[in-house]
Amino acid sequence: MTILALFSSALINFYFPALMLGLLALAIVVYIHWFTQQKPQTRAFALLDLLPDTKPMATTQIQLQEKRLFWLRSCLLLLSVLLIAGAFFTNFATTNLNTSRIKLVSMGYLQSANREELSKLVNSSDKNVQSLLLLPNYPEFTDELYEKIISAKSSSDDAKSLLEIVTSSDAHGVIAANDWQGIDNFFEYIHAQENISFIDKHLDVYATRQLAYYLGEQPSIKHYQQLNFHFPKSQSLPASWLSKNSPPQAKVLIIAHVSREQDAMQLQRAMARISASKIADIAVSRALDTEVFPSMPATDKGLLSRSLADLNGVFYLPALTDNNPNIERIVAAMPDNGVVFSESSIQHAINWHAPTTGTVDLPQQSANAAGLLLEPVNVLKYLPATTKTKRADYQGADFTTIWQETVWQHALANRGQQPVLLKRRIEITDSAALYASQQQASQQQAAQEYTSEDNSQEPDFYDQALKRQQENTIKSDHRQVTLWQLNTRFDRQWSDLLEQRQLPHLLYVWLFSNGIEAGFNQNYLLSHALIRQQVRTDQTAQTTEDVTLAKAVAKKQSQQLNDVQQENFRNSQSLLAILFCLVFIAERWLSEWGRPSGSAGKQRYGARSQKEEGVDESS
Amino acid sequence: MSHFLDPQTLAELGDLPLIAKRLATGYLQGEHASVLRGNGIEFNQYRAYEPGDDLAKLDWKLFARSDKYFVRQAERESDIKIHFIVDASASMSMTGPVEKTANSRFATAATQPSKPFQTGLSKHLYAKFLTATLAYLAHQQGDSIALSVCNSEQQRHTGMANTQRHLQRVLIALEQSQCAGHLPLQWHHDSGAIIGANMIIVITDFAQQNNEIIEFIESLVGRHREVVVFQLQSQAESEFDYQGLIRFVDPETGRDKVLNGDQVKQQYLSNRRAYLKQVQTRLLNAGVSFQACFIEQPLDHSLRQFLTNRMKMR
Repeated sequence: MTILALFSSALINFYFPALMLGLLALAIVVYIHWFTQQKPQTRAFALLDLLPDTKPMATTQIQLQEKRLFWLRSCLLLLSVLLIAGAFFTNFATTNLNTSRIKLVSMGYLQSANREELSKLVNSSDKNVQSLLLLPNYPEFTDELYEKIISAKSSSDDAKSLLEIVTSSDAHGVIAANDWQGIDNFFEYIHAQENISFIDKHLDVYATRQLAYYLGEQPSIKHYQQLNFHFPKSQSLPASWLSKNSPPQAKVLIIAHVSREQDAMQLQRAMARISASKIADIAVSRALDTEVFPSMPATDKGLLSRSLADLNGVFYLPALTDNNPNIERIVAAMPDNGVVFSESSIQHAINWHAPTTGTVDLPQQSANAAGLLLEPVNVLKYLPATTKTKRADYQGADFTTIWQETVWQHALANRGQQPVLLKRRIEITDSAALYASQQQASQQQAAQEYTSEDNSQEPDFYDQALKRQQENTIKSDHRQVTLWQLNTRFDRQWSDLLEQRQLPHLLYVWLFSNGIEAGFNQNYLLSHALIRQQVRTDQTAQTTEDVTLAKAVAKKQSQQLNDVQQENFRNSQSLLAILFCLVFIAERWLSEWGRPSGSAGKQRYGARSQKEEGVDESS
Repeated sequence: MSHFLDPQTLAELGDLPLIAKRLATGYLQGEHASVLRGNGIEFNQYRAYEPGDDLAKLDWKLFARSDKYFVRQAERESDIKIHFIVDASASMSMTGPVEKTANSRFATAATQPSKPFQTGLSKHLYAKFLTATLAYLAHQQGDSIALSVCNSEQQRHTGMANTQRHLQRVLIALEQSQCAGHLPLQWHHDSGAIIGANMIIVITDFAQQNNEIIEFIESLVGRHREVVVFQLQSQAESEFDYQGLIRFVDPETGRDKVLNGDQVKQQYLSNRRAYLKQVQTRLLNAGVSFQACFIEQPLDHSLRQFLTNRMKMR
């Protein structure tokens, strides 16, 4: 526990924290000393004065007889471990976080912000304001970096090149999974700086709007009063679907089967959280409603015609085992410009478009792969040249850093694969059933046309296919309803994780759908970590903030020393080395000369003998 | 009571009379006239007459037969007064090892299980056997005996007599004595009670705090009085075969020392040799006979060695 306290307090940092396992060896020594003491046997002995007054030393068994020596040697071992582990004290030197205001800029913000926002960010910096990048070691956002970023953005470089611009370090295992994790790490970092009274400082976080969803969810942010969030306006909500197309009192209805009641409640809670977080100007005054039906409303035409007429959006949650959810009726019941959100599980029942089903065959899929397709995170995955490559071919291969966009485009470009998000703008007739029956053949034809296209097909190929399809439909007597289908079930492994947690995700996509209008922007998607956290929060109502040793070690390993820390490291190591020398000298002195003399009996007898000799001489 | 007198031991010691050194050097040398005549006179040898010899000692009958002058010399064994002083302090309760190994210097003792006191015998019990045997021998040759068993909790004294009944009283006193406490400091004051003894036999282990035993023995030495000291020691004290961590407790004072037996062995043995040398030197300077006995040794062995040495002194 003491070790954990040391780690958690961050008073002492370790350059090689794994070597702290040497403390285990120290514990073994202490254990042997303390628990293997030999109990002395009692013997009657008359000639006690003839026995020397020496301290008994261990010969056959280890004993703890020299306490001072024991403590000195324990200190010696401890100092050795600290020296080897590269311990350094963070509060011995000043850090560079002595300004009154700090701006923390995330990579997502740099990627999403336009030139004006970036220039404003740079121009607002002065001596009292320090702009740090949300990257390991928190480098400063300088003017030179600004120029590089502007030039990169003008040349349409992707996020990977942007990252290479801002940091020259290798990205392997260094960069946080997402902005939120980086923010969280930064809070832990600044709270560890005890010599900084961070309470009085203002912290401006420049992050993507994805981060706004977390506001009010994290205790570390709650406790920090001087925290301001800034989001890029270029992809914000003024042009959102709701603000443009829906009246102020628009309603959202969640139509859920009774078996999906939990999902519906979760979706409703997500709406409440988004409303409470005051994200922009949406959904604050809107009434959110949920209706749970024991059976699907497809059988209750009256209900549909009555309740869906004045809705702006419908979240449709059919039973998972329902093979015929009849979403056509819901779509038909929606007013013009309505939005229906559904899940991909029902796509097989919808005959508007029937792409070939399949899975994205990414090798070595793991839990991180779930977040791969949900957030802008660079992961260490070897992307196969072809999807037919087996996993065994990549064992032992050098993994390269790939980006989600690459995987995204790869998944879309490969035939027979489903994209994460399907977007359909559908023109339907009054009778959805008639529409479905009439368009089934044409959709299949469109799908076949698509599958014969080149792999370099654009991600919005569905729109193109649908546009071609729509050109052939009857132009008169139609209404336009947008149907969003979130496909998170194209892989069984990911589906296990996301199956019950995709609904807030879907809602979030909807709220920020203006970005989706121009093309899918994965920055709006929720992170894998948040999904996991929600699962834990909903089930146990507990937050996991315990700093375990493994986490601390992993975190410390990911840290690299900046200049100040290097200076601290050198000073601390020098101090430890001096202490080590002093303790070593003391140990040597005590072990060689400091022990009590064992000739007390001899001296006693010697005095007596001299006395007797004196008597003899006198006699 | 009677088990103190081992018949085998007594049989082996039957030809070794307890003779006081001073008697041998006094009466038998003809320097002083014997105060007792008659039954106690025993012929020893004839010697050629020399001028100055008492004519009363001429053997006229032998002169008549051989026509030569011979002086009749007689060896007189007078009844002396022997006082036994037995140290009954707590340190005398230390026992020897119950089991002895074949490599031990006392292996012979262990190989004679018929001896009732050769294994697990305490110093005090050994002193009882030794005192009883010597008292019996002294009584057999007509000497008067007395006994003092002393420690800080009890002191037993018997009178000086040479009767059979008195021997029984001495044996009973020995039987009832127990080890406890330490040697009393008033020993010096009680020494007057034993002034009349011609021979004082002190049996102790010399476990003393401030040389009080030596000083007491030195105070006993006087004219016409012989002091014999038996020092009882055990094999554990002489060889110090303790191993590992031992808490040594002084049974007299209760003091203790936690020591490693292997670690302090050499130094202890060195201190012990010096201590014994010092004791012997002081006793010899005071004219005290010193006899060291190991309680692991057979009693007859110690007695035979003691009596043999005394025979050589004649």
